[in-house]
Amino acid sequence: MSTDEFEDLLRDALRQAADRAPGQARVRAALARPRKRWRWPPIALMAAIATTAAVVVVECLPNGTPSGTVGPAVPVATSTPLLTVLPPAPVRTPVTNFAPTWGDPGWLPSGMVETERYAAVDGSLTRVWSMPKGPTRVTFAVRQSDYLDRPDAERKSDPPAFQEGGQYDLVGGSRVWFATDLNGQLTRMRWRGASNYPVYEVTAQFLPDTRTNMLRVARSIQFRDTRPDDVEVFAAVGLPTELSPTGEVSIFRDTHAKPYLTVTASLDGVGSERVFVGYQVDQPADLVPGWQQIGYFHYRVTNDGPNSREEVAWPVSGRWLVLQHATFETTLVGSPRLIGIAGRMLARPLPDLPWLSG
Amino acid sequence: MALTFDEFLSDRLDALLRYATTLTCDPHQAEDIVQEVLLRAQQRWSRIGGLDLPGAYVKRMVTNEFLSWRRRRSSRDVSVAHGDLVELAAPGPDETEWVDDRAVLLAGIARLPRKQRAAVVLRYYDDRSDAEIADELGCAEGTVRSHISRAVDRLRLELEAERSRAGCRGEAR
Repeated sequence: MSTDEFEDLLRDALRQAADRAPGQARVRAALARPRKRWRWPPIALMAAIATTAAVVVVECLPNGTPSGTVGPAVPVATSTPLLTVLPPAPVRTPVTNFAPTWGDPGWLPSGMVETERYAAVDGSLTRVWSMPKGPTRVTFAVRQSDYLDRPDAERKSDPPAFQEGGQYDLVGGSRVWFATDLNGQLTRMRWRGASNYPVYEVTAQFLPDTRTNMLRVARSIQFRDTRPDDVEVFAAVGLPTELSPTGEVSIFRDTHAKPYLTVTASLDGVGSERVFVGYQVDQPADLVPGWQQIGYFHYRVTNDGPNSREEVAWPVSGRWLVLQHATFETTLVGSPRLIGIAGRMLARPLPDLPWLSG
Repeated sequence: MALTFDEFLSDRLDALLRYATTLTCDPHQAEDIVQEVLLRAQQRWSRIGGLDLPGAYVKRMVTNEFLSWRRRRSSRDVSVAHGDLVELAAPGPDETEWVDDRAVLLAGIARLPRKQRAAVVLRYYDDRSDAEIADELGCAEGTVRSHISRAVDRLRLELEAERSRAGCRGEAR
């Protein structure tokens, strides 16, 4: 086969892949939906937080020396010449609305433990259970819209990597739609949910007797009377005004089974790039090489084209906060601004959740 | 006059979904990526809509989102095993063989490292030059040529191997 023939074949294959693109319905629905996943605390509470929080800005950046374990959420010692206490800036708190305790499976394969929870601005709530040793994972999610909304003809245009089948199984009286990747690594099943969350989804990876067990999980789910929005609400990380939460708030156990919370946000005024805030037990494992210590903050830059990022890590209340700015298409904001933002963040202890401490 | 976000959607959403599908080789993930990018773009449309080429800007956001797709998504980012797509296609000569070739290539593309995959899609789906791809991916033109060369070599080898296997199966019958 000549080079030209091969390239024509490649172009044709890519056009064929593009022809499998999904329709616009779900994306348009997500864009049209008012986003109110973030619950704001009462103004009085915000004011109390703001006035009791010490706000720190690093004035002099080079050659900083550690100032001990002082963190932004506690009164800051003024003895260090590197730090200045400023009047508190307005603080807004993304509240996690973290409530998918609504909907508990009454049955799971023996040995599985809950490891992750996600809430997303698109309205979906997800819980994840994993086998402590091994790759088996089961998730349960409630979604505000998904492929069930698609017309049949459109769904049939899905690629062969997702084959349909088993459409006559029922959960709660609703017909179940299955999709499985060709390796059998990941299987999803979806069925009609409630009015607020019209799509329920269970996925499984590396689950023996997959279909039977997934149906058993789905049929065992016991829904509570309370809506997710009414269940426990807590704020673990407070963001300054220039950070706008845009993506998910997640809380999960990391690879060392340590509780970890992340918030996705965007940084006002610098484009569309992402800021990730991690709130974790351990200090970043690679904190020494490549990091520059500035006051009590640690800062580093990784230059890798569009994947470049800059990070600030600092200890707060016995944990570590990590603020990561992924630059994407724009330039670095630099250590003064990023550390300035870090200095105005708040952190509170994570709630005592049984599934987090196991 | 600046494009409104709705006008932009009407004009470009299909193209973005098609582009993301070629990048991800998975319409579900493509939908997730485009949705996430557009939610962010919508928030900042006053700025993005005023750019000279908002479409190019958002497309680059899609590329970057694909390259940085996070760990959490791994449960959705399912690789396709070599030969699985081939097995789906009915064996046979002529027209069917053409379908087999494309399936082999798509399976191979899905297994390429992300930057190689992005470079291949930008070159052969989007008809971009080395310089344009380098700008999109934030790397040198030489790196782009290297990505594409390696990817094409690998895809050709896989295709030849699959054709050889198919020939053996045909002879066996």
